Amino acid sequence: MLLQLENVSKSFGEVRALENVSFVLNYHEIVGLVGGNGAGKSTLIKILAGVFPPDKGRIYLEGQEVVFRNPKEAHNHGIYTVHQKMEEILAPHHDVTANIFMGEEVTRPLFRSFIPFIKVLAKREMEKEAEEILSRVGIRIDSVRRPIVSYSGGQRQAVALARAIRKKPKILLLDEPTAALGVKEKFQVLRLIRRLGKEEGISIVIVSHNLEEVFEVVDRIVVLRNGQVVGECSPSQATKERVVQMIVGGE
Amino acid sequence: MRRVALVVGIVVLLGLLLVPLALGQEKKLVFGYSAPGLGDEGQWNIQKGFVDKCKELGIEVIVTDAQQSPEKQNNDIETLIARGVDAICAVPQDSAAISVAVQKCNEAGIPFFTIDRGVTAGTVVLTVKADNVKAGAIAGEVMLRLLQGKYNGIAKGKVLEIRGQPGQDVAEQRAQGFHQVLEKYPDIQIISLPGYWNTEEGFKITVDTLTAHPDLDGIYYHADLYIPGIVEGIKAVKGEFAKVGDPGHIFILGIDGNPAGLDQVEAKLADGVVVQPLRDYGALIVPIIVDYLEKGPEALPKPGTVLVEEGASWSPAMVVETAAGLEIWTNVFYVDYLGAGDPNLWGNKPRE
Amino acid sequence: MKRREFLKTVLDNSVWVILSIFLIFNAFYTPRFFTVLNLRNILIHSSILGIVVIGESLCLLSGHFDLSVESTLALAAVVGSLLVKNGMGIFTSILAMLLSGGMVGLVNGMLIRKVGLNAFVATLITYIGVRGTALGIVEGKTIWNLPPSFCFLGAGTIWLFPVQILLLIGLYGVFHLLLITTRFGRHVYLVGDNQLAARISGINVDRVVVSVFVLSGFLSAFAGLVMAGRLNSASPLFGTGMVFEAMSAAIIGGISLRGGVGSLPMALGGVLLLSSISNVLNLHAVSPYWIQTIRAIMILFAVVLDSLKRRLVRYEE
Ligand SMILES: Nc1ncnc2c1ncn2[C@@H]1O[C@H](COP(=O)(O)OP(=O)(O)O)[C@@H](O)[C@H]1O
Ligand SMILES: [Mg+2]
Repeated sequence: MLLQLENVSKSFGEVRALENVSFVLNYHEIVGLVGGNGAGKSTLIKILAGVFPPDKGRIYLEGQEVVFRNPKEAHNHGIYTVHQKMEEILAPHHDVTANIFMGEEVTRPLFRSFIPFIKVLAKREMEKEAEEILSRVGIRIDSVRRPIVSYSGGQRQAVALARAIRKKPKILLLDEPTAALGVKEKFQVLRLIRRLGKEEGISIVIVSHNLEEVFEVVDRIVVLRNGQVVGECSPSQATKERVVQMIVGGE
Repeated sequence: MRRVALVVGIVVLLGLLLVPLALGQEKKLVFGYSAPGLGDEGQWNIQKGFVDKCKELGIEVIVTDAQQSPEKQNNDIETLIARGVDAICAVPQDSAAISVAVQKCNEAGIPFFTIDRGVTAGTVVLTVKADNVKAGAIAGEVMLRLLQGKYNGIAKGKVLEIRGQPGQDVAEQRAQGFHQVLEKYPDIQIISLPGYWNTEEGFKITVDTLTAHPDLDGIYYHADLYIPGIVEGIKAVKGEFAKVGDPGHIFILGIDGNPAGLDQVEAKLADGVVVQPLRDYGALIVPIIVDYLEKGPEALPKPGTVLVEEGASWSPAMVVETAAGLEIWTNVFYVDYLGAGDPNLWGNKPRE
Repeated sequence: MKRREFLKTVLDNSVWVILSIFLIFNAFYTPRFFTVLNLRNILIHSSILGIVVIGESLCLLSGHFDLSVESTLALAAVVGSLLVKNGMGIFTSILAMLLSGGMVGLVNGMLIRKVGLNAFVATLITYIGVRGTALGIVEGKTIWNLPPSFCFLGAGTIWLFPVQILLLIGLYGVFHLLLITTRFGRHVYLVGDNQLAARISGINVDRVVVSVFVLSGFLSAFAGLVMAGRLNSASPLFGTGMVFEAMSAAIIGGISLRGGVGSLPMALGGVLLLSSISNVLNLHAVSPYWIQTIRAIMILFAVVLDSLKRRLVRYEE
């Protein structure tokens, strides 16, 4: 087991977003997290990403208990995330490169030889790397120097994805990564996700409303309803109808 | 029986204890004093003069400090009304805003006096203030004499006037008096700019005006706080500062007479200053308040009269009936470096 | 493509364009305006406000108001002058005044990040409290006649150049480089552009915001040192109303009140434009009753010109 959540709960005032959720992610596994609006999917992702701590419960990474006090600590453990909402991801007036490297800017010593501790941003290197990663993601972005506001929703999502995969994460958390994409881009991103999972061995949790694509890429499906895990199945064994039934509840 | 005696004894004793208190309450007057902000040196001195005179006459004073907030001053005055003081004297922070409190005071039947500024509405028994028009006029006269001295008796030259806040009555009156005197002399050019009571602004005005008019003869300022800016401004443009009496000196004089100002005059950085008797407003107004409480309106000085007291810095003072009510305009006087060290000037008096 | 790039360069520097137009216009219409002496005067007038604007801009870029700058300036001026007047060494006094500024900044930062107050409210509190403290320390008195070495930064000259002007240029250079070439600077912009995204991306927002306010406090205190030297005196009323001028300069320079957008050189352009406007009004000795109105019209003109040009290549948001 790569990652394990044990009896995690989280409330926002009156709202109980997660209740005693236990969840497992294995090595080299792609898990689909599905559920209706407000089921608690994004909350689960944010707890794993270190955005906020759970009210109670434990998280184990490779058998060791971990506590993420902030997103940086999750990054340090190799956990990277593409969050659902744009306002949680991108700085709109900054260019693509600045966004891809947000919080993890690459620096170089200003005077390498005599005062190595004064470091400045390595802009050229970052731009070059940004272009490389974007070409891997496979979505066309004409200039890494233009601000995010000048790009479409799909392109913005591509930038966010590029940021998350830049450092070859151990675990990738994707909260509705294809929601704003066109048909062609969606196809490309799904192919990328599959490649990352199967060829590069990254474990991935993907949240999606689109059961088609979930069935296409994931190894296992976990269903959340009203903050609780209500079911689990493998796409090869269950039908979409069965999963839909679990999502909406009742028999 | 014995117990009754004991009780009676205790009652008598208590009664005896209370008598002096009761007697004291009968005799001792309590005044309220509402200051606009004691952080200001001038205000602190006005307050000190008032409190000292009250102490001398055995009157208790409750002093409140509005810390530059008109709203707090209203609250302060309401508190004084609630305390049931015999009379209230205030230096309004804002002439209009204070009117609400003045009207409440009128309703409560407590006579209201002001120092330095009037109020817009409500009844004020009497206002004591310096004659700012006269102060401006004196400054104008001295400037005229200095210019005539420089140009062999001919009244000509260029003078910069650094004003306070345009529209504020003190600034307007200080400008009015100065202009009244000098506008009779067409060859004297006055350049007037507002400094908003801000030292740095005074610096900028001095620098810019000296650049536009390198032949500037004199500078008239509305408040002492401009002096450091003027001195440094002249240095910044001319490279050096010529003191009073040195060749190339630019005449500098104005109004206020606070400690820094007097020091500058003594140090011959400025030619002189028109002083207001801030510290002595209290000495003038407190006895009038006491009389008024005893005898009513007859005790007030009559409009058109001149109050004189030997040796008092406020003397002579004019009594005038204005649209705002009865006012006493105190004397103001000019001091140069010979007089600036006078320990009787309020700016030279020690704080405590 | 070339034309667009050119247009963008012009727009990114619109204050400088407007300032140039203003200077050229007045070179013809204002006597003694375009002289070395007067241009030097404008720079001298700009230096104190300019230093304050660096701190204010840092805060605005990070998406926060700092109303306390002018009070911090007054407090530092008073603290330093009082110490130096009471026989403390020059360096100790200067250190103490800079520390007092840093402390105010630290308090601002803590009120905002640890207590969770809105920046406007937090710095409004220090704006009032710090000016009050300055008044209290000297009981409203003005301190004057300071030692010449203490006044060096404000009134001294190195060869032909007033130290003030050198300081202004130096500080803008250093802080501009800090902002655009270092990680810290980048983080200031990112926090201002989208604080939530910055936090979620792993940026320590607390540290960035507190640092920004501490720097702003230091800079305001430094401006207090320059002002005390410039005017050879210190008063608790120094800098009254300056925060509005500082904000105007930053905004005229194109720094967004919402944060994340703008640059220091542009803010400097805003400062120089405001100073030039005042200078011209003084040179013309405009009527004291109309001077404010005319100043407002000139500022309006500058801002409208700027927004018109900006609209040409605006990305839709
Ligand atoms: N920051 C928050 N503050 C208050 N309530 C929240 C917050 N985030 C989520 N919630 C609530 O928690 C519940 C679960 O939300 P979320 O995890 O976003 O659901 P999902 O992503 O499955 O649609 C919802 O009822 C939502 O309103
Ligand atoms: Mg969600």
